[in-house]
Amino acid sequence: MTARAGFGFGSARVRALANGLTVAVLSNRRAPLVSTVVAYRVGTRDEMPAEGGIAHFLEHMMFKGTRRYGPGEVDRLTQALGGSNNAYTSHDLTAYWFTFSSGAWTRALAIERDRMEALLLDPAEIEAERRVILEEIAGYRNDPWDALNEQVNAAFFDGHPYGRSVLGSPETLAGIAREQLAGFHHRRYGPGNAVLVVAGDVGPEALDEAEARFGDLPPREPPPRVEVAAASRDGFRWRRVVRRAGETARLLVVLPAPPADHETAPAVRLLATWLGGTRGSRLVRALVDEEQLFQDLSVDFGDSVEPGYLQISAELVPGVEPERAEARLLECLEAAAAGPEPDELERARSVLEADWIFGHERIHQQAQSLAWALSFYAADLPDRQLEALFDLTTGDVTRVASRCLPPAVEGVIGWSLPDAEASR
Amino acid sequence: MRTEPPTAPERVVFRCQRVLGAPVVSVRVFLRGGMRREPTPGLALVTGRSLTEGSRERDWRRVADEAEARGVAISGFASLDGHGLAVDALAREWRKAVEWAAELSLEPAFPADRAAWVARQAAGELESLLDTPEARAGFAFLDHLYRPHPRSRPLQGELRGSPDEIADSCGRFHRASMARGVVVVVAGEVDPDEVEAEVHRRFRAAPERTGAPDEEVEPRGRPERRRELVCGGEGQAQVLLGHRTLELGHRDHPLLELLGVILGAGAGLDGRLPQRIRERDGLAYGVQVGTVVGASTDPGHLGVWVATADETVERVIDGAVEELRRVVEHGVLETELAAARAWLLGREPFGRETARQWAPRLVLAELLGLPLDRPEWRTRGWREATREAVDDAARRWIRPDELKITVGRPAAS
Repeated sequence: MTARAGFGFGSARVRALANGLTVAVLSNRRAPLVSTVVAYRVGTRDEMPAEGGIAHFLEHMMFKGTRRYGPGEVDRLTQALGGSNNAYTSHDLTAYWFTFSSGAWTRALAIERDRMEALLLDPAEIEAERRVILEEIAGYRNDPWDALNEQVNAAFFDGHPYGRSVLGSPETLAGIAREQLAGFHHRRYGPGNAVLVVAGDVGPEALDEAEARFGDLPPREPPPRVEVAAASRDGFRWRRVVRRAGETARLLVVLPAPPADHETAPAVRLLATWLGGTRGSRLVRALVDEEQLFQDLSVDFGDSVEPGYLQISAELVPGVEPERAEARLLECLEAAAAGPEPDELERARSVLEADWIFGHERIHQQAQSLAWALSFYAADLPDRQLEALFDLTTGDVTRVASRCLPPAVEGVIGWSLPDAEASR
Repeated sequence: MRTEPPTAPERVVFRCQRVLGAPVVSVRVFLRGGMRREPTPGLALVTGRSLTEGSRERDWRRVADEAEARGVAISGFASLDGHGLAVDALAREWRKAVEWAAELSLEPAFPADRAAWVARQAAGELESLLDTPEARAGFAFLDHLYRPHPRSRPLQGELRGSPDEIADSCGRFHRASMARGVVVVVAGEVDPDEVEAEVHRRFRAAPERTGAPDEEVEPRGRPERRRELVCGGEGQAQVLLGHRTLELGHRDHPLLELLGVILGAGAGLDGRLPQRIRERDGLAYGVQVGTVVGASTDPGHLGVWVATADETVERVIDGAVEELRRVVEHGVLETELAAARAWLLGREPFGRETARQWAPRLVLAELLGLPLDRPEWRTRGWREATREAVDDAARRWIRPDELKITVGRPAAS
């Protein structure tokens, strides 16, 4: 296969069941494995502020007992069948996945169906899981990057649900009752709000299998998604967040960027790679390898449904003054607004293409990407965006650079500074 | 898929794995240096990473630019047993990947300014890691179990000296490692004969093997049973407990793998320890368990890691020790063994999906002289294990009275 062909997401067979469930099958017979993903169009953005963390709490509870599968049984069965499973909650989406050998994958459908229609939410299990999540929150707060990221996000998305912590806080978590969890599940976990992807060593008959297992579930029309106003950028000037912990200085700069399906998204993704996706990228070469101000640096473009961010994260070389490093970073960003040289662009394009291939080698990675694309857009979005990459010119990237980088925009500058430096 | 036996000249041991349909080709050059043989902590990593800092032909900028122009990812690495290069490329670029792997490993320049920068980065990386309570406690636990063996210390080390001294040390260490033989591995959708010819051509300048046998350092560990230290963070403590067990090639290894799954190394939160500590008692978010963690030619270890509230440390320790004692005294259930076996057998293909998974496996197979690349060899021990054999292994290798316990307390404890 050629790299430009992508992984053929557009060739996935998609069927909309009468109850609203979207089912997709992506055949890839390279390994005797099948991944399934059930993604619900619900996430932190759908929570009321006082119930912060409920989407994530519910994700945990999906492993704690249904009518047919008692607490822990999902994992026991996964183990007995030689598979793997997990789940995640983001601001936009909550997804559950299994990977099994080709002969066992339909068990995943049985579990997912039961979780969709018959979640138990036993009070004792809820209390045990609440304590578990408190420990998860403590772990995040003790991780220097997670803690900084949470504070910077809150400042950047001020008042917008993207600024809330996915885990919630100990205070909001304490207030979430069983009835709220049950209501959240009932409203948001119906077939009409879900996408089921089956990928790997299966053929189109998997569509029929999925329909046979889910088709008789009654439709549950999802409530309209909570409308969120775009985070206001009017008059937004640089905001600064400083926390004091640890010994290494860490810098996180967040700038506004378009949503994942925006027509400029491929150019912004290429911009991010050109700026900080590789060793030869503009910022890494200048600030890490040449001037040796940062020991590492990366630039990421977040895939979000609503307008999101371009994020620059870097760790300072011990002994370098944070003010000096920050000033040089901002200078470099302003200079980059003039756009890349043609050879820089070609390198970034090659790297982005390779990264995309590297990042989709495994079946479950392909299933995850397809589930995300189908949840909000169309199956072929990832392939179309990859294809668009090859048509982008320096002019295209320069245009988004001039709009996405200072001085045209400002964002949040977050520092995690060592205790000693912070007290100077 | 098939594995080619080594047929290139002995100075270069070559292994190739054809991975049908793989879009990526992975090349690894592995030299028998590593932490095990480094005279100064951190030298192996700095040497490995400095391989991308330039060759006789090209400086570091050209190395990076030319690789990126073709979408090739090149990185230098080091481990306990060796250092070398990892080159991952789209399948169409396999020849270039082999060519660059040979150039950078056979003719590295080790420019002084670049070697010094790599050393500085490694020191900064270690400092950054130590900002995380989990990493700080993890390093202390390895020291508790393995000191003075090199596994007891971080890979990064803190290499000091002038730029010239660092570069000279890297050059000497690299040449000495090269003299112990070069392992070249290629995995991907390639023709093994064609690749072998290319590897033979590109690596013909590899030196003869002359390396002398190494003096091994025995792992002993710290004498104290329990060790407490401050690891930072707020409210949450890190609990690690375990002891050394056995090597990867040991005949009991598959039995301990099965036992590990029964205790909690398997799917999700299944297993006795996660079920007890997290699911029943709600004391932690993460509970990690292994019985042969890091096993290679040296013994791996039994390891249990739990992050829990500072005030529940003793409950976690008591629960973990009780569960370990229970498995030693009462053995495992047939149903548990069947599930553990099924999980290991079912998971086995997961590790052979991509070329990038195959490549390090081939290196390890060569290094240990074990057929790790043959699925049937890996799975036989799991298939043949009986409950009695697993119970015997538990009694032999799980020793609750000899557990070493490391507790990392939060700063405000």
